[in-house]
Amino acid sequence: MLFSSSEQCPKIWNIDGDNRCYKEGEGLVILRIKGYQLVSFIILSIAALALLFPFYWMVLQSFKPPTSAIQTPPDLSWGGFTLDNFKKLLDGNIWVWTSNSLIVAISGMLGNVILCSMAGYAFAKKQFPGKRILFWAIVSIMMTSTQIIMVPLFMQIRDMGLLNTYWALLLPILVSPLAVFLSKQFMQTIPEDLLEAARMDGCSEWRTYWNIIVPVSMPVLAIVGIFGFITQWNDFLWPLLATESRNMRTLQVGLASMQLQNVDYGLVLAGATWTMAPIVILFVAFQRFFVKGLTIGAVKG
Amino acid sequence: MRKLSIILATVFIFGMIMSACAKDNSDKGSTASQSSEGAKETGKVSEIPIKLWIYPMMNGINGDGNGNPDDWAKEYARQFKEQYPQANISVELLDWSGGTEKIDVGVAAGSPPDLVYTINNFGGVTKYGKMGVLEPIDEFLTQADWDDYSEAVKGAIKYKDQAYMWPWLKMVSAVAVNMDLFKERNATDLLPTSRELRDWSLDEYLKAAQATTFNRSGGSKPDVYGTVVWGKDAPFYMYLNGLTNGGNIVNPNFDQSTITDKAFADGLQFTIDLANKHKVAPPGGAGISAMNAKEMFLNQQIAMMPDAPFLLEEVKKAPKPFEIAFVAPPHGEGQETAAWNNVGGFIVFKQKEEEKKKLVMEFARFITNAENSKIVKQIGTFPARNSSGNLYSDDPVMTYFDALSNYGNSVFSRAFGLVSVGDWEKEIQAILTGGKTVGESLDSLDKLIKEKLQ
Repeated sequence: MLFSSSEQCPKIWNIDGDNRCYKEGEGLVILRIKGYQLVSFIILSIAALALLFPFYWMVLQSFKPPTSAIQTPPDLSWGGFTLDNFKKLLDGNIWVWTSNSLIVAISGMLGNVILCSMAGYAFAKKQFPGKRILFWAIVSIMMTSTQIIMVPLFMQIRDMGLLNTYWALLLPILVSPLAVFLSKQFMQTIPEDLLEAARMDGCSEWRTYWNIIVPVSMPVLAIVGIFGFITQWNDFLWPLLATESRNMRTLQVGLASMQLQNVDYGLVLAGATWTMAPIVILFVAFQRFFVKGLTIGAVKG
Repeated sequence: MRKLSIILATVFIFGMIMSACAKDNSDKGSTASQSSEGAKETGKVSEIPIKLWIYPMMNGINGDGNGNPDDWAKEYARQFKEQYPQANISVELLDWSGGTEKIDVGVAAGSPPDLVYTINNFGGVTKYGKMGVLEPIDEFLTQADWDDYSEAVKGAIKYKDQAYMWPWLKMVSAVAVNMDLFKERNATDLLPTSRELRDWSLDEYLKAAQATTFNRSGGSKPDVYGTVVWGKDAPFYMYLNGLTNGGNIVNPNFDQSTITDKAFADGLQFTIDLANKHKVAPPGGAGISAMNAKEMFLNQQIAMMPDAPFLLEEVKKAPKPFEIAFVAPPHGEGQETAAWNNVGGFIVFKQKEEEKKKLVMEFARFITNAENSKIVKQIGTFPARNSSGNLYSDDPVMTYFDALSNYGNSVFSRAFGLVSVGDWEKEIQAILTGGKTVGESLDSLDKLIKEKLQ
């Protein structure tokens, strides 16, 4: 492999007189990019740019006057920045809505992690009557559209007298069938010997779960937590139905209610940027778990 | 591990306690209900809770833009409570994207609001009237009330033979014209601006559209179009030529579909021909939305488009502001002009108690009385009551719209609520893409309308 200077050669490799790195006994390592790799790199780069462009445009326009967003051709220059859109946004109840969204999303995330991992453990490692039926019943809920259960759920929450409270927002989201499914699939792969050893050491059921299962299951719990957070953060319909007053709104619902009949693009885009920020941070911080989340449960055994 | 578990448990428990303690730390009860606390304590008045749902239309107590979108409604609630201390009114703000779903869920769950704002093209009167979940308001409307409404308004508040909506505002559409483009093309004489009602025929409209379809750089493909035909959102504008050509969606008694009549079909065919045959509208109309059309108009890529008077304010904020004029929608040979007429107001859902019903109706009357209706000027519309007077005497554009509102067809706008917006869009898209003929699409709509009318 060629380097411009000897300092850039990895320490574990050797360097010859022509500044070429090589491993002992392996000869020179020459990096060759094949044609098809170059083509796929170019195609993927173009696709990535195409996907990122709307986000770039959204953030850019949120710092520009509202008329800039509807200009044709689009105004992509960096000039004419203004904070007016964000001033308008922050004048409202945005802090209350953001804190409501955080309460709901974090509680949903913790509920999913704690309760669903317990359920997943029971389904994966315990034997009890009706286990299979119950598990498939839970899985079948995943195939049911959220809109279908909205009316009965609304009636239930209303009859419990919980409408327009945090409980109305939290109770339906504390447990998620997807999280139970993912937890169960992952925990099935934990060797039985590990649990046997724990029991022989005198671990109670709770301790086995907390000290053995939970640490080993951290990857899946991270995924469940992240998915739980994002789902609740982005949810619109249920918070809209379950809340009545301005101070109980979540961010998504609150921002929608700020929009008058004539669309203020600056405000919309500033709101979208504000809403997206935590999700972007979360994604950047935990992106390896996202990728893992796509494959967990794909292979049995 | 132990530390982590303690932290997690603490956060979770704290969150739960906070949730439990925070049972509605809200402004739920509005000004009215806040002031009702005192009444509760004294026990002098047994309160009647009333739920009012509104959409974000204007900000502030007077609708002047300074404040929140529900301030004006809360102010009305407060004023009403001064007259009726037993009224405990809570105001809830819906939003344009999910409000209708929320009402539907409330209706399905048996707990709709007591009264909610709706407008003809939402189809609320027709939809909920047909479901039998609305209170008729006929017995609460006096002769003086009826005399105070124009024919267009009277027609818009009914489902079958009963009135269900307390009319509050009316709006009407016209054709917005970019005068700068017409001047650039020396085509201003093709516009009907010198006529009293500024009305014109379909042929005249086509000539004006052809004159303003051009390429600025001299190429063969136009970059400015005379008009626009779209397939997504606000589809009522696209079917309007069926009405102005002498047809309608249903008959005046609102019990038979007339959408397949030749006059309506020919009018719709004219609209489609603007795009597909005469090429005076941007290509790909099936994928264009009303919002896209407006953006093109504001960017001076379209010379004429149907719209309401609010467009005037948007043009002032356009990337390059231009001179705008409004003219009447074009009409078929031998027809008088007709306009998209939209009446908004408040519908009252079924009440179990007579006393509460009376109070809710009284509140609806209060919001929509001649004086309180004047607030709708803030959103560029007209009060539904004639006795509110001419609020736009110093505004020639709005004075023109007021004159045009007499030609608003309420049967057409009400009938739009019979079929879902998605179905109207689907059919116009099918015609624009050549998937169906005008006749085939109207046959499909005819079946849907007949089902709804049965």
